[in-house]
Amino acid sequence: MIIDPGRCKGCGICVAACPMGNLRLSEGVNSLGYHYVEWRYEGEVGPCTGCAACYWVCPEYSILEIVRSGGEGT
Amino acid sequence: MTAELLRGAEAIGLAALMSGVEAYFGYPITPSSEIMEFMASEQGDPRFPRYRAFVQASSEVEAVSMLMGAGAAGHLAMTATSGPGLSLMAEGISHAYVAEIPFLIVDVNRGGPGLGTTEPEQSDYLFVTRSLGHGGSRAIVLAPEGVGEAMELVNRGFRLAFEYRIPVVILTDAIVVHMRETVDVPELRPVLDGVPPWAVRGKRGRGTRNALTTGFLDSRELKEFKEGLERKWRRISEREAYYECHMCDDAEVIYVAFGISARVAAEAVRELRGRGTPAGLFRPITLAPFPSGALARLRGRGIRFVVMEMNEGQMYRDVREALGPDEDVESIPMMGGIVTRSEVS
Amino acid sequence: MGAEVRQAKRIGLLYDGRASTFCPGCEHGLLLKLIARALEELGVADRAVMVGTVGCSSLGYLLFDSDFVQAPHGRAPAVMAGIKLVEPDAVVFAIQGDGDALSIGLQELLYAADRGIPMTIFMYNNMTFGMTGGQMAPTTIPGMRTTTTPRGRDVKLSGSPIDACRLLSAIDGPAYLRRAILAPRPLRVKGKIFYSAREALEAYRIVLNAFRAQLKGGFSFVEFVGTCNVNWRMGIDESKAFVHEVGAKYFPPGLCRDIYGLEGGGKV
Repeated sequence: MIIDPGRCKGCGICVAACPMGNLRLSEGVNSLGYHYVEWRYEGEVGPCTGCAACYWVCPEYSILEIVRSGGEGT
Repeated sequence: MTAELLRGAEAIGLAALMSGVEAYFGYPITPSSEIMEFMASEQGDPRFPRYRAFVQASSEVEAVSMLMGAGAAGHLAMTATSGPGLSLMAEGISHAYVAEIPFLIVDVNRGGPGLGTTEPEQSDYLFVTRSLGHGGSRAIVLAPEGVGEAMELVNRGFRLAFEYRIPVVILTDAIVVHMRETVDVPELRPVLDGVPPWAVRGKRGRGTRNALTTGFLDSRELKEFKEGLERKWRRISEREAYYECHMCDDAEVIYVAFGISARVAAEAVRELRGRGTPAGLFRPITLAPFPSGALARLRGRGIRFVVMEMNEGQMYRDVREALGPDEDVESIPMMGGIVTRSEVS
Repeated sequence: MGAEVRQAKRIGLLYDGRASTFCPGCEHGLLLKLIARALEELGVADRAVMVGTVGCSSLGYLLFDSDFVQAPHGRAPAVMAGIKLVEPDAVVFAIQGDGDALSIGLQELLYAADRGIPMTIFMYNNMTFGMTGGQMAPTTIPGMRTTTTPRGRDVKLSGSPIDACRLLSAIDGPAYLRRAILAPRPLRVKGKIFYSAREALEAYRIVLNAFRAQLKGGFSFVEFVGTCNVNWRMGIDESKAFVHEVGAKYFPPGLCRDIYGLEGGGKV
């Protein structure tokens, strides 16, 4: 999972689109001043399935690429 | 070189075709429509395979936008219009000037302002030379005095447009466009050989993109860019200011006139010479850049300058500026295009 | 189509690291991303020419790594026609706002459609002039407050919203006319808001079709209804709901024309 946090504007749509709860907005802010998206493999609901909903809904192209590595991934 | 009897409108079209024009986008407006009609009939002429796009647009606004597209893609495109149409094109010309997009516009000057008349005038001079479009936009302006020179200047106009990446206007009038003259058809060569490296047509393996913008997000960027445009205009002014000085060496009276007025002035020169007055004619061929340097060289000789033009006195200002406040400069305004012998002599 | 469409690949046409100037939550960035991805998927990225418009849509050129030329406000369809007639292999497209396309540029749009010169136009309909601060636009809904309709758009004074798809349907030229809602629909479940990728994926298919239509020699126009939460003075979720509950009534999604049967139907 390759993310570019510098482009994120903290809209939160990806967080609300993730079915497994793998995404959240960060505590800190990026250089633009926004809370940015953070991903972890183990989500609130379950592990990341690579469904790519976040990749598609993101209006900024902060979610760059999903590399299916079957485990932690990046 | 073959001698042919050609109508101005056809000659201009023919010159464009010989120069390799690829697209014509126009709108009907008297007295320029004949040029568009000629170009419409020339579609599919096997002598000119480069010519492949003709569109009668829905307005001059659309026509100039299409010129922007074809020019940005690195191809020769042109139109012909008159005053009211040129006013509508000013926005597009301003954009093209800053984006450095080349194309050719033939302005067949009619009576103006407003609807004016469909008769010839030279009243678009200020508009095309001083500021053709907002923000300090400009174009190179060429003014032929007859059908033969119109052909040569169309070719030169395309060359200048692409060499300097700037819009070019041929300022002519209803007389030149409608009259027939026997001309030695010049051998005009296609102006472009292949697509220029800056053309916007897809990266096509180039690696980096070509981006032609007309807006800037930063004043400093704009300032630097315009400094570059100013340097370019200075280069153009130094190298491309054309004129003709006929019998000026011993002249005591010099007529200053452009386009069709120059032919009337030439008559006046002949008449005065016949009466024993040494007269001459200074004829600017580029109105922008104005050949001020050449004109200024005639200062200090006590010459009486007579500026003859079919408007209220527009080129007079440029002549006055070039010659300074102390020279004897008179303006003969021929508004409505009405010229009388008594006015002239 | 499902598996390959869903594959989350890196998109080369979008400059690395450059953040957009769009507001948080605006779908302009989403549209740009879908266009970039579609051009790559169709293998025509190297022939793509983006023609710039005026409005928030125009800021896309800062992110998009293709050949580019700026058009004056409303004139993009004519500039694209000029390019396409001399460079028929170029894949030309523009993202117009509703103001650019239907206000100042309406004539250029109608005549480009009429001639049917192959090109692809995306109209981002957010019912306002976003970049200039939220003035009334041709698609502003009756009663909607904007900076030039502070008491709400009065149909008697300012007319009714223009239905671009219906207007263009009256012209024979276009090959593909489509409208869709680009904003994701907010679903409220137990007090929490959820979104899905449904709108984004459907939009992606439409974007692919729009370019396919151009490649087949047709004129394509897609109206995407999106949000402008800043100028509408709404939160992000509220603005998405507004599009689906109110906007969609005036601009219902649907296929208005599909000469090549790209959506599996045939001429509508």
